Amino acid sequence: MIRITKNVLRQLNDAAGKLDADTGDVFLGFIGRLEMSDGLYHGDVIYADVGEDPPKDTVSIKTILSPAKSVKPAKSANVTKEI
Amino acid sequence: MAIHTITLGIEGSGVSRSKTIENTQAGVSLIDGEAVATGETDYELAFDLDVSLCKSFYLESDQDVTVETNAIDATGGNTIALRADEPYIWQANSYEAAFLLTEDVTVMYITNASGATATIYCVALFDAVVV
Repeated sequence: MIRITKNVLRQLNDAAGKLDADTGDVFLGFIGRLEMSDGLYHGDVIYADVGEDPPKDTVSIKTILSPAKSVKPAKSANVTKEI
Repeated sequence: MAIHTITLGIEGSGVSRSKTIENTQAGVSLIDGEAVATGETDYELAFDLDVSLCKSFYLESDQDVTVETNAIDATGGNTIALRADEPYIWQANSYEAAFLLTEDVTVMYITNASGATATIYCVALFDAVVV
């Protein structure tokens, strides 16, 4: 079970039917539902084995599901350094 | 004039009861069995409703879907996580006075991640004010 935002759901929907470069399987889509308690979609990603005619388009589901990298806060201009 | 008949009841524990509540109004807004495929995000359905005039409301899907009104992020509208085969029913004399739709509706957006095509029914009865 994973929890995703609607924006990630939209990206997963766009990726449906493509070859997942990370797993080598065909990504079929996300199945789940919105939980009002946290405003996220709870569910699972679904794959299928690559048949004899694999999709030409590839995608990285791992990348789509990776949380955005945290941005380091900018250094403050008036940092006091103790000596 | 249009008539809505809402049926409420209970079956079990040796009890079998059923009652109907009838509403008659002039105005009707309707979504009559629109199919929304799985994998659709923000599928637009035409639907108009002045919630202050609404007297009876019924919203049903045969799959789990998200219903957002007025904007794809429900800005200026409302969000309902509608469960499969569990209709949301409200009428002006409901014991639960609060109507889930607090903002007038200009359009509905359906997101379906259920894994199957959802069929959406929505019907609202409202007091059509003639000026």
